Amino acid sequence: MTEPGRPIQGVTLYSFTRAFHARQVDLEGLIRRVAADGMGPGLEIIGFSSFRGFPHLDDAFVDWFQGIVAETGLVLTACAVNTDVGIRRDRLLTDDELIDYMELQISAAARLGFPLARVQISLSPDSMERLLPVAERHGITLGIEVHAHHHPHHPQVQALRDRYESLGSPLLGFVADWGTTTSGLAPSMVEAYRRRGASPALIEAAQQLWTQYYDEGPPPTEPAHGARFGSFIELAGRYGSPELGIDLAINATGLFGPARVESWLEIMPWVRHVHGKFFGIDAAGEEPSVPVRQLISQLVEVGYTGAISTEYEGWHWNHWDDAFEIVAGEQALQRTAAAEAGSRMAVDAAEARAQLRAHLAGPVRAG
Amino acid sequence: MINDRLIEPDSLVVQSGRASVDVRIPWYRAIPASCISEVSVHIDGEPFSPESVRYELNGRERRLEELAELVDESWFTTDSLTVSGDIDVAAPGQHDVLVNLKLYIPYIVTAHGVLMIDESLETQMTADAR
Repeated sequence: MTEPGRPIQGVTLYSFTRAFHARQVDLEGLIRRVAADGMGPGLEIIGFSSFRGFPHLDDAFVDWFQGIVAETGLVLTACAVNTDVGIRRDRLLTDDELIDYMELQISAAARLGFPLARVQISLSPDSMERLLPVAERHGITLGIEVHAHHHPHHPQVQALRDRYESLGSPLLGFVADWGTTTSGLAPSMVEAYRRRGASPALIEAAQQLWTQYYDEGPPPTEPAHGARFGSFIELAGRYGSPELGIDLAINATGLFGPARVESWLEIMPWVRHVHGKFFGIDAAGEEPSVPVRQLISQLVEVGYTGAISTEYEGWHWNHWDDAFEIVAGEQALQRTAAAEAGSRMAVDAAEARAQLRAHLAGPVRAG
Repeated sequence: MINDRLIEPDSLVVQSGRASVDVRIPWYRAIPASCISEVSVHIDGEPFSPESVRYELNGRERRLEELAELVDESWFTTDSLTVSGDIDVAAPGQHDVLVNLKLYIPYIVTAHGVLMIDESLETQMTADAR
């Protein structure tokens, strides 16, 4: 029998994008706040968001960063890096250029002390195979993020999984984003569209269309995704709010994925890290659009001992609530869910550090 | 994404036939300067004289076509891009300021090419004369 999992609690600073962007709090302030408020011990950071000059960092900065992390007792879990294939105006980067571009970021993540770099799904199985020696050289795990509109059954994910299986390295895996497996549109997003002039009829129709896609399951192919994207644009136009169409389409298909929680089992042996994506916490302490309890329960059942970065993304439209309180609310829900599933979240830094090292070093478990 | 903050409050400066406004990046992460496609500023409905427009980023002033070459230099999350140009505007009093930014998002490639966001914001500001 599998030992019950004990996911490591943590947060990504992406949750606090609006406060950082507004210069209300700087990087050091955010790290200290995460530690002081008990939102760790896990800490995830997006390289290009938080580190000025990333991926070109001098030794003094790296020392300063590691000093703050050591002082606060937090545990670095993941550094998100980006597949910026479109930085040139005349053409896309070639595969060789992209590999070099990724290596710069991956090595910067490793220098900073992160054990895992989140990479993006535009990297092909061939590119991941070419990046494996880079990961080995820098001693860092690479996790492709599975994020809506993609999902575990998507052909791109399946192709990566097959390649991982044949390569058999613990350094290649996935980052599972909970936005892939949501159960409805967020009430705060609906409220934001209402404030922006969407009629009750449009809101109802958008929710019905989303539910129809949920019943049908996630888009099996890219053309199927494109058709759904277009259908939300068309809907906004039909109900008198064409200016909201693209925004609605991006959010309804790209943030609120309609895959089932169980579909994660398909790639679970390769899940090295989790993004606890969510959009808000209601008065009863529940997440109305992300099945947090079910997701945690499943991770406990399969014996997951890696980290979960709480990732609040309601800030796109919710300009009125405090992100720090919302994150605290979601982490309380995670702890309750883990206890109800017969386990607990790892919140002690020393325990989390040892546990994460073992999780990432261990061989990929046979499914 | 963060388009409500496209214009830095109180950043309008007017001085002897030129004006400048600070523009904030409407995205959660730094983006290479080469991804800045276009930034237009109108003050009281009038644009800057096209040839005179300069963009100050990371302490250096450049023309738009120079930005396109800067794949290794980023517009950081908390920084402003100061856009200046020749314009005939009276320093005292309130002015309507309209900013439009077209910015490529280099990691999102769609069937139509690299995603370009197109954000506009209009606000009223009192000019700071120097």
